[in-house]
Amino acid sequence: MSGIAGLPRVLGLIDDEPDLSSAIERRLSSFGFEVRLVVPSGPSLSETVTEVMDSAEAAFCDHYLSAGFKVNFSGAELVASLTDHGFPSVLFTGVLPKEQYAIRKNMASIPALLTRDGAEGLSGEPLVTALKESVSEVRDGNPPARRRGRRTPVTIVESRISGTERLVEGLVAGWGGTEPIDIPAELLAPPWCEDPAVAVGHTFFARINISELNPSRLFFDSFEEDPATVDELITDPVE
Amino acid sequence: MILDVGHGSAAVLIDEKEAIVVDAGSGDLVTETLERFEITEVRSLVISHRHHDHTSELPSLLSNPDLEIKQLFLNADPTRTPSTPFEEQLRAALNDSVRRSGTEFQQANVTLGARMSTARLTVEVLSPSVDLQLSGVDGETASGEVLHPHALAVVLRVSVENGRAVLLGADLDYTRFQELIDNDESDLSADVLVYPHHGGLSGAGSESAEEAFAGRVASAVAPDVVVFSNGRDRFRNPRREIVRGIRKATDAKPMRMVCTQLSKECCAEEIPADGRLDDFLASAGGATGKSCCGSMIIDLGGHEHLLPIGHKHLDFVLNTVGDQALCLGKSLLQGEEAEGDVA
Repeated sequence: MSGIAGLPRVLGLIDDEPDLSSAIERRLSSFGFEVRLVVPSGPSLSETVTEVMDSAEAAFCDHYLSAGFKVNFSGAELVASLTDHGFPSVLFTGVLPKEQYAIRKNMASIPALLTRDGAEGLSGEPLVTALKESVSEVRDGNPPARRRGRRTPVTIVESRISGTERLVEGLVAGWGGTEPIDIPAELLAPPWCEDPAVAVGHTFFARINISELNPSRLFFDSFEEDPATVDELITDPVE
Repeated sequence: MILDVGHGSAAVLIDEKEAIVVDAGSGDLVTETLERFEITEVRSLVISHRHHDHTSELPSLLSNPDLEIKQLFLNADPTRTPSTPFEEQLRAALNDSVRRSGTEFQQANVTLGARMSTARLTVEVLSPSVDLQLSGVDGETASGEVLHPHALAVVLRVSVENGRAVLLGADLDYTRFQELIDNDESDLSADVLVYPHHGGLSGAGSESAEEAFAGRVASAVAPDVVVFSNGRDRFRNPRREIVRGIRKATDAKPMRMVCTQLSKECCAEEIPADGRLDDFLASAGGATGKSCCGSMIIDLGGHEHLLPIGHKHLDFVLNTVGDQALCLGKSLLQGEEAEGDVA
């Protein structure tokens, strides 16, 4: 076997947990892919991007890389950077709620995300499906409907701190769910990101994949203030 | 096109490179449909009334920088709480569209059909009347009735030069639809009827009154195709008595009934098969396995059947859903002889 028609044949695997990487390698190999383990040679994100792109045609990447590698970036940042270089990749991770803020910051550039259950699923089908979606979005410019960003209003209803992360909670117009979504405050434009509490009660526009049903897969980018909000700032400036 | 938005409504009527959009009931399906047909200009965006199952996509549609919405027809509804996030978002999005595209914002009544029309799509607003709009939602009629939003729902008849027409019934209530039927000046005839209120209760009263009302609606419109824009959900639309009323009233005429999603009245169990007529079109049920016909193209142009590849629906219903399907009529006439009209 030599992989699956239309998909890259040589896959890079970036994972600092040997047990997990061997399971994924075995499953991908069973589909005929050639899997190459990529060990970052240094802490730099740009060097690792080059190493991955030089050794494979697409990649699977664990989110947590700091246990076994001496790197100063996350898998989410690596996948986002690979996407920016037009290189298809898939992010996988363990328990999502703990990691969702770091991932959400980069979610707009993470074409496929598997939780560990998915990555270790009964068959390799979820892995192949994720690879197909990544290739379709990154290489062919054809993301699935649930990955298409739509400019839509989002109203900030709360701000809080979780660990070291400053968050706002936003209600998204047009999204199927009704619950507020946690959004890393740094995604807001200045001055809102510097004092997110001031954003509470205000409506912004952002590009959001509103047809995604799973709230953990929503991405947010290109935040803009509603001009009415800016008008309020002019008359009542943020201290 | 009638879009499968689940329990709700959205229709996109295309004339060359511009469109009329009626209601925007879910997610981003209107946006996706316009993109697929490379439509960047909406002549008229008409919202029948302000309930969420008809408006949820409205803020994102108005915010879309790739879409020019020339006119928005949206009636006032004082029962909406202006401080809710959705109303805030609607305000922000409408102002954004006005700034960006010069969108004209106006209310809809029977005098404004011509303004909504395109070169080849003639729109008639059948309701609300000027009198109703003067009272407004939550206002009182001369008889002292307080008007529910459904009483002021915007009902449209859209026709083309060859005479084919579709009647979009919105959520118009029993009293107002009966007034339309009784009004000789209203031309309700249409090849396609999108049945009011998703095939749910009209306010007629008893089950038998709903059945009789449905029969009068079907007789007045005399459609070849009746569409229920329904969801596979707790509402269990279309209601059995409504389908029965339509079926009885149109017994002598070949007529097809179709639902966007597979009603729990027809089949309580999940069906793994996909009944969608056209998987090119985006459907809410397509992603969740709930579709019956899904989103559907209605060909008013006369080049094809009204419901192209509609036979797929019959195949799906006969082979997968079975005799319990309301549209087959076999399960409807309890105590009466079942009539297997499957036209």
